Amino acid sequence: MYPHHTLEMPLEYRSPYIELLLLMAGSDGDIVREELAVIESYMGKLMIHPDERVVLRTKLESSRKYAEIIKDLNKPLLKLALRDSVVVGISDGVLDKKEIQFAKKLAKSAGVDEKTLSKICDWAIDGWNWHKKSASILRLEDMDDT
Amino acid sequence: MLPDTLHKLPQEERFAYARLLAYMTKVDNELSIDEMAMFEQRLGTALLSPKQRDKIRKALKSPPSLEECLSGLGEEAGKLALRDATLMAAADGTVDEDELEALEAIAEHLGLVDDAVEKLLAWTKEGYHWMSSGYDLMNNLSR
Repeated sequence: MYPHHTLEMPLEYRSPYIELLLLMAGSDGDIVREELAVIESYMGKLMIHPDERVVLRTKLESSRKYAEIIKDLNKPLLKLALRDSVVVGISDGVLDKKEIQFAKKLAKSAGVDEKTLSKICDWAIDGWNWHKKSASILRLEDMDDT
Repeated sequence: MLPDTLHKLPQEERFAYARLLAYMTKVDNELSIDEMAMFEQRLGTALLSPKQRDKIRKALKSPPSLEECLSGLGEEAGKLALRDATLMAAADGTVDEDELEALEAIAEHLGLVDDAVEKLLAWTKEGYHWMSSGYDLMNNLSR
C-alpha cells in the first residue's frame, strides 16, 4: 500500500540525504526531540545500517558543510531531501525563519522555484493534519495539543 | 512520518510498543520489505536505545505472544501501537484475515469502540493518498 521509493535509493546516497535533514533540523540552532524522532524514522525507513546510524548521529555535533553534502546527491534526490527536510522542519509544529531560509537554499540547489516550495510546504501541512486525525480516532487528547 | 506523543512516553512503554509491532510482523508469517521499512521507521520514531532496538530486532525471529505484548502496554502506548500496527499491516498493500483479527484483539484489549479498527484503516488509506501525493509532487518536479 505504501510507496517506498526511498528504498530504491542507492546506498551511497542515503547518508548525505540524512545529513541534509540533520542540517535542516539544526538550522535554527536547536534540534528538538520531535525533529530527532523524524530523522530517526527516516534512517529506519531507509534501513540504514545501525553502525552507519551511529556515525550519522555524530554529525549532529560536527556536520559537513552544506556545499560538500549536496555534491554527493543528484538533482532528484536533492528534491526528495527538500521535501523531507520540510517534514523535519514542521515536526515541532512550526517552520521558523531560519528553517525557511534553509529550505529556500536547498530549493535553489535542487532547481525548485518558490511556488513549488510553497506546494511542498502545503503538502507537509496536509500530512501533519492527517497524522493528527489519528489522535481523535484514538481519543488521545494530549496528542491533539502537539 | 510525523511525530506524535510516542517519543514522550517512558522508555519501557516505548519498548513495549515496539514489541507489539514486532509481534505484528509475524502475524501473517510474511515480512515484506515494505512492512520491514515501516517497522524500522516506527522504531526510529520511538527513539529506542541501540540495545533496545537490537532486542526488538531479535524479537522479530521469535516474537512474544500477543498476551505478553499487551500486558506491558499502557493505555497511550497501546493506542499508538494499535495505530502503527494498522499502518504496518497495510504497508504491503493488503490487510489479511489474521492481521485484522490481531488488530481487533488489540482494540478489544484497549477497550476501544467497535469500529476503531475500521476507522484506523480508513485513516491509513488517507495517509496512503497523502504519501502518494508526495511522490506525485516529486515526479512532477522531475519533469
